[in-house]
Amino acid sequence: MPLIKINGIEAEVPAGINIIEAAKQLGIEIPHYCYHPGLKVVASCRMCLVKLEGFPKLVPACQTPVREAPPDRKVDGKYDMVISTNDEVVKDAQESILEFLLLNHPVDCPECDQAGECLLQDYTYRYGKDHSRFEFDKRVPPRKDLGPEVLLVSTRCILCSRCVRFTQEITGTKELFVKNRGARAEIEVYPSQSLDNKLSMCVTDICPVGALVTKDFLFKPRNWRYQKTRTVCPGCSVGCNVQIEWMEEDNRIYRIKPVYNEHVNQWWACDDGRLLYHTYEKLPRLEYPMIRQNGELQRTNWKKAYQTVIEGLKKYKADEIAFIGSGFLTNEENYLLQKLAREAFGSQNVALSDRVVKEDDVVYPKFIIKGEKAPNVQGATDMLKPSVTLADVVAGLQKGTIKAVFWAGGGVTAPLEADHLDALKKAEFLVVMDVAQSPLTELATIVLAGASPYEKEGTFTNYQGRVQRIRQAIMPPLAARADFEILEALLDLMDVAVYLRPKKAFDEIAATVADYQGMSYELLGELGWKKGDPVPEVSEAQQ
Amino acid sequence: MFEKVLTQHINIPESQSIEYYLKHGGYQAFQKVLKSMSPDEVIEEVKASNLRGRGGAGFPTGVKWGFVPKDDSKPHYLLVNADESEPGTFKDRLLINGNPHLVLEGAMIASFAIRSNHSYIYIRGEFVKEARILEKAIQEAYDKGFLGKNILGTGYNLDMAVHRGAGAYICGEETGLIESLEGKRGWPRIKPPFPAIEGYQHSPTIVNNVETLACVPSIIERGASWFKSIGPEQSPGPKLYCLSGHVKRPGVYELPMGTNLKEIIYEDGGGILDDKKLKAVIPGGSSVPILRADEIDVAMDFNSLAAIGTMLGSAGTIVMHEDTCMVDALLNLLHFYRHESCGQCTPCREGTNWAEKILHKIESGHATEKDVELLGEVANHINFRTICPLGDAAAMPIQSFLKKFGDEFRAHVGVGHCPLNSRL
Ligand SMILES: Cc1cc2nc3c(=O)[nH]c(=O)nc-3n(C[C@H](O)[C@H](O)[C@H](O)COP(=O)(O)O)c2cc1C
Ligand code: SF4
Ligand code: SF4
Ligand code: FES
Repeated sequence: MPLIKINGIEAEVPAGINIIEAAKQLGIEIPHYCYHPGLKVVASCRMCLVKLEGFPKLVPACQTPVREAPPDRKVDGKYDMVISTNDEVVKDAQESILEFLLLNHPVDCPECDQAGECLLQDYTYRYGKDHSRFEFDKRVPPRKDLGPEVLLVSTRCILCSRCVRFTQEITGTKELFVKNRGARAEIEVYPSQSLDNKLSMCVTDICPVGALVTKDFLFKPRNWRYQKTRTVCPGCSVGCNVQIEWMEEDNRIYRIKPVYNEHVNQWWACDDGRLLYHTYEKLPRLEYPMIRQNGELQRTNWKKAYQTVIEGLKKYKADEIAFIGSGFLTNEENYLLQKLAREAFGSQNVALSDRVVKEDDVVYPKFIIKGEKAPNVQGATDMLKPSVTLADVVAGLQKGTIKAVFWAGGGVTAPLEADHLDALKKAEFLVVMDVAQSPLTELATIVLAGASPYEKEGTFTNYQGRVQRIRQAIMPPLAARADFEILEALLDLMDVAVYLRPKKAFDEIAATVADYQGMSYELLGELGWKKGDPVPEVSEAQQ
Repeated sequence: MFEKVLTQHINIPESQSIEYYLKHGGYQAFQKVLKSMSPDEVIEEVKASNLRGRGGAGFPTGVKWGFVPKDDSKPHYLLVNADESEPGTFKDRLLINGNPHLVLEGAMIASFAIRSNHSYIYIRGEFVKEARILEKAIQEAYDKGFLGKNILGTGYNLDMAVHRGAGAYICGEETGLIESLEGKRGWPRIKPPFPAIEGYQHSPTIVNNVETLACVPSIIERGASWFKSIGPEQSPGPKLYCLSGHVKRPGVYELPMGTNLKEIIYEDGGGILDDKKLKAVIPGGSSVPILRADEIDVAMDFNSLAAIGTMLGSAGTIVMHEDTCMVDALLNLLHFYRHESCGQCTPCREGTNWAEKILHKIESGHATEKDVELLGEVANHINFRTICPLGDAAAMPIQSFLKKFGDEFRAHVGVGHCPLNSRL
């Protein structure tokens, strides 16, 4: 590996990475705008200029890879590169670039949604001047409605071209371009087009300033006022890593943004996934456990609900009860559900619901959105090891061989078909554990109010077989509970096992489910772990 | 006595036709190359001639051709840069008008040398007539079998076409030109990769100026040592000087490389207009540092001009007499660069715009000393910090005008109007 020196700090860094990344490894920030690790290097903002020993001009750190120098060209006989990011000339360059960028900038931070997460603000504090020497009228290009989700506040644009490159390289949809030359240049959407690709909101993440903003986040409270929770998007079986921004005071989600995971979504997430929280907000949520009395569902408490479920199911023979798991529930929940079936009630009638919305996959040059609109069909299959299908259960109900059903929903499922409903009407005892009222809850004997994927902990396994942790952001509404808690309470009452936390269930999964052998929440970490990848031996230190 | 090589036929009406060109020895060099030389021999001959590019940078032409890979499987491209838009420069246009086949023959030889079967002439959008002339000349060359498949039975194939620009100075910069030719915005590329390795359509590409290529046939015909005998050996050859501004006889003059600037202005150009006093000369097109009247006793070649801190550039020699307001002249230049900046790099995009505004303020007599200082600072903040040399081309004139005529800028401060002649 090349030996380099940055600001006097020596280190070996891999050849081929650029100076910005190399400096980052040493904890040194090189300010940059146009460079984004997911996009082609254009080296046009010139914010990242650094001094490289032996070069007459400052060089853009984004464009300059670390490389080995031939033996006779080493600096001081040993360094492959000697770089300064805080030399007076470099500081002069940084200050002047910021001054240039601010010439025409409105400095409307008080009303800008980016305030607090704006690289122009940040760098100006760290590298800039405190006053403007520009006394002429500022350019005022118009605001533009680029598409269904995104607005362009052109005055704030610093023309880094990240947004344009995103539409060229990642989606290949090429809706955006730079119009006009020189200081009259503006970002524009091509005539008769709209920025309406399914990843359109990503341009607002990569815009280093507040020029591109989502309509969804417009004029919402400042970013520093939110709690932030890293989790996995429940929108499809890709399982993009996302950050949920929410507030404790009103228990609401305000924004969902992608978080980098090299194996899954890189820097991106689709618009549908980001906006999915609105769908959950609008659902007629189940807020209490309910028991049907005199034909009407009545609120009850959890203790009573659990007792009623157990007493109700106990009235039937094992093969008269069916348990339906779900691709919206976590691995831990599905695991507990099948355990409830097989160990508590001795039933082998364990099925996976196929009520999942299925669309065509959306395939972009550098991103794929799965058409399977549930996050954990793979994991549910692994956990449930279904012994029957939903169709078998429906047939059993019609024939009268199945009389009691424990149905788990867990998310925004596809509507039930008429013949399913007909069959379920025949069930003598129907437990529905779900997030929202539906034609199914209308039939239920008992309704257990569960939690949405934003409201609980556990793991999902994506379509590639990557097992990833989900984490709770907001609380379930009123008396609703994480499905895990419901299932664990039932298993406890049935004297099968006590789990308390999803982590304990996962440890059992790791010990008993073939592809999950050796996994743990620690191993999954931030990036998850793919089924089948060799699990490292637990080191002695850790033991 | 210097014998003209490039422009000896230009004022003859039928000189555009291939018949005329053939009658005067045209396409002999190309035939010689096809029949008796290998591509490498052509490159060696051009290297030996010390021909340096006439487009502005003065890079040795043979060396550049030598960068093209010899045994790759990609197509190679020879692009003729006929975008000529540098203020004060109007030589390529004359060549195309007066001797289009000379340009084509040079391009053909260059194509052969770099093993290219495809050549495009990228011509400035405003040169409508010249584009037609070239198209006609290309058609004639096809008809006579100098272009197309199996040229003159030698097995060499070459196609050539004209591509018209859409009116951007930046598309004369070679990578801006390549982007534009690919149908994209004329945004110069970052280097590496250099075009000789990865240029047009990701393939090895050579971009040469019209005049550079027009020198090539005579090098092949008469030999490198003949070429080197004209002017300074390190950058020899016939040279077109574009003389404009306050001279009695403006125009294009073909003279040996290294002709004295004073001689060009006073003998060829007939002296200063209205016999006024000379004030300043921009020797190599609007992008190069300016010279004071007392600095013009200098040989007009790459090295001699570099030695006194300026450049030969495109040899656009702009003469200014005593009535010229230097602030106004610089404002005029900055207006051009502000308008032509592609807008990619922050310093060039914002700096040219700001500098023009400051200059406007100075020229109107409403500026302070601080503004004059600020102008210099803005130039320093652009210079050497951009992707392509357009940024430098805007910054260097500012720096040199301030250095050499700073007093005149300060004389504008607080006067409320331009103390000299102004266009404002
Ligand atoms: C802003 C800018 C404009 C340019 N315009 C032209 C032009 O119009 N014609 C030209 O031949 N070279 C122009 N050049 C120089 C080219 O980039 C390139 O160096 C030249 O075409 C190479 O040809 P040569 O080696 O034959 O000189 C320009 C360069 C810059 C930076
Ligand atoms: S809108 Fe944002 S991302 Fe796009 S060019 Fe402007 S600053 Fe860059
Ligand atoms: S220096 Fe100016 S013209 Fe050249 S690439 Fe940068 S912005 Fe464009
Ligand atoms: S980040 Fe390197 S030039 Fe923009």
